[in-house]
Amino acid sequence: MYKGAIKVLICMLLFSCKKDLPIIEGCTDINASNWSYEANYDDGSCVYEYQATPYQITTPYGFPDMVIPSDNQLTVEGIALGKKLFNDPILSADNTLSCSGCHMKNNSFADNTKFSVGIDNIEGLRNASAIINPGWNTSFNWDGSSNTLEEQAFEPVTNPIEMHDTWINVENKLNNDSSYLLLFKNAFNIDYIDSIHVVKAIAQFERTLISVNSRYDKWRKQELQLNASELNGFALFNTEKGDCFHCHGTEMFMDNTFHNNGLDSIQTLYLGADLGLANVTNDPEDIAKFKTPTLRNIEFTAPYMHDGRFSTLEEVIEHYNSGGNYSLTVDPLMKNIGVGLQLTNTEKQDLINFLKALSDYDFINNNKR
Amino acid sequence: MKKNIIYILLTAIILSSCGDDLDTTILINFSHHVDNQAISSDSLDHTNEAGENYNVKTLKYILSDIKLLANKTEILLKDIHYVDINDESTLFFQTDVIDNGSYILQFTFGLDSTNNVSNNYVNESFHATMSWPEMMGGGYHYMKLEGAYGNDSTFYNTHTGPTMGMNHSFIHLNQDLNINVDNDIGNLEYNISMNINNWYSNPHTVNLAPAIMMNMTKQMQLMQNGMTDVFSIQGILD
Repeated sequence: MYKGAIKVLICMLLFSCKKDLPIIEGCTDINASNWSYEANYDDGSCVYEYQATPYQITTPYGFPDMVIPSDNQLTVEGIALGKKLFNDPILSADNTLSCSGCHMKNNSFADNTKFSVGIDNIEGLRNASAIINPGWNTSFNWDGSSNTLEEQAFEPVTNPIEMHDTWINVENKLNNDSSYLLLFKNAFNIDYIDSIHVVKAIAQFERTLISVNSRYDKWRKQELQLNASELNGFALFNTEKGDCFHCHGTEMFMDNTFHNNGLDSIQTLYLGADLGLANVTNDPEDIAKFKTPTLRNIEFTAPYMHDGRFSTLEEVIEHYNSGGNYSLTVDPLMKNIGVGLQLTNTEKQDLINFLKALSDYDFINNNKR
Repeated sequence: MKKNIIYILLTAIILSSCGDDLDTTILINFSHHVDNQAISSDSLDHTNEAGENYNVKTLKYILSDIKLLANKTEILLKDIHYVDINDESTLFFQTDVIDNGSYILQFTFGLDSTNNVSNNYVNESFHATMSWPEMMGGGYHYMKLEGAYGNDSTFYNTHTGPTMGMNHSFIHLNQDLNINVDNDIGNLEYNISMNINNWYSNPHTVNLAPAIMMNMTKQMQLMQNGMTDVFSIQGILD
């Protein structure tokens, strides 16, 4: 009797716990824009917000991870749009000058003239920087006046001696172009084109301008052998005899910082030479300091230095070989001002031959860029 | 009687809840001087044992394996710390919470040979500025100490590192100072101080020079001078 009562009780408990849930149809995928928290049966009604196709950067050997802004992750559509914008003169007031007008692919996205000329035929004040591996730069422009590629891309459009346009005008032009409306919709899922998304797209494209396929890189991967002159140049480069590595070290061939490499004397600085980083920081300690450029593809990016004062690599090497000029902020790495490295002619040529081994022809010839 | 026990228990609970221990962390600062002088970056205000007048424009260095030692215990404070005197954010770090105890501080100047490998720290801020070419052994500089000497336009580059792969890093163990962590007292602050002039004296008189990365003798001498008395540690009182 007692046992029977217990069995009945257990059965009652079990059945009381189980309650048939009603079937609620709807979208059960939490990633969908119409996800229903009540639905327990997916009826196939899920609707997904459009997302562009993610693009993954492959970090080259010896490079840090690329820091990409969280609000501008790379996408296939964003990069393609950035490339189109980079090459489109629509960004300039008279529709004649594109980014690529001063940052030419054949020159590793640098300008082969000393100073670029804007739409009003006015020369700029500095040599256009090469755009190569920019995703690993921590500041932009010779004086470091921009901290991100997005920030940098804002400036030339409105600069009166460059594209001399206004962002309102550029936005109007782009919004009146149905092909751009579609491309921005695909890249960013927006219906109105604004300046922020223009520079985002350009920055995405620029982050893909990666060059690591030079003869030097192939030598590092043991795919070819550098010749004796190039190897001697490599040795000069990477020892204190030539002492290039202190500023142009690592696989990036730059140090992401600023130096005064003795281009101008105290007198020429006093007479109005470019003050470089000090123009941005207002710190006298930064006078005549400029951002170290990468030496990758240096063969393609003549003329050299922030003001394009040297036409050839020979002239550049001669500057260091003779020691440069003294000023208060000259870098102690310029060990013997006025004396220099004192390399022989053969050593200078070896150094140049090594620098040319850093040329990545695939980078300038590849139609993807 | 039963009532009394309840009162005692309640009082004990209340009292113990009022006396919460503080979590103790340590703020480690880095400071630099030349004997009793502050660093001068302009005029040649400093004089080393060899009688050379000099200034200091650049001082960047790496400390690694910074830890507290106690009986049978060691607590890693920081794996690697990079100091650049021109970047204030590098001149201190705060430790995690430290357990009560009496400790002594130890660190490695530079990186030991196990860790000092080219591209081992590609994502550290010092990767590009401190790299040491494979041609000369590979890895990273331990220190870049630079400035002018003799006259304004002649520069020295006291760069130390793994010349031809030789390990010239050294361990600094500060046995003279006990760091007493007591959660009742609270946070502590200590100063790791570098006397720059001592790199150039005791036991070796080292002359300033523009290029020493391949000079094994100077690297050894600098290492031995560094071990002697370059670093000191002071507690900072509130």
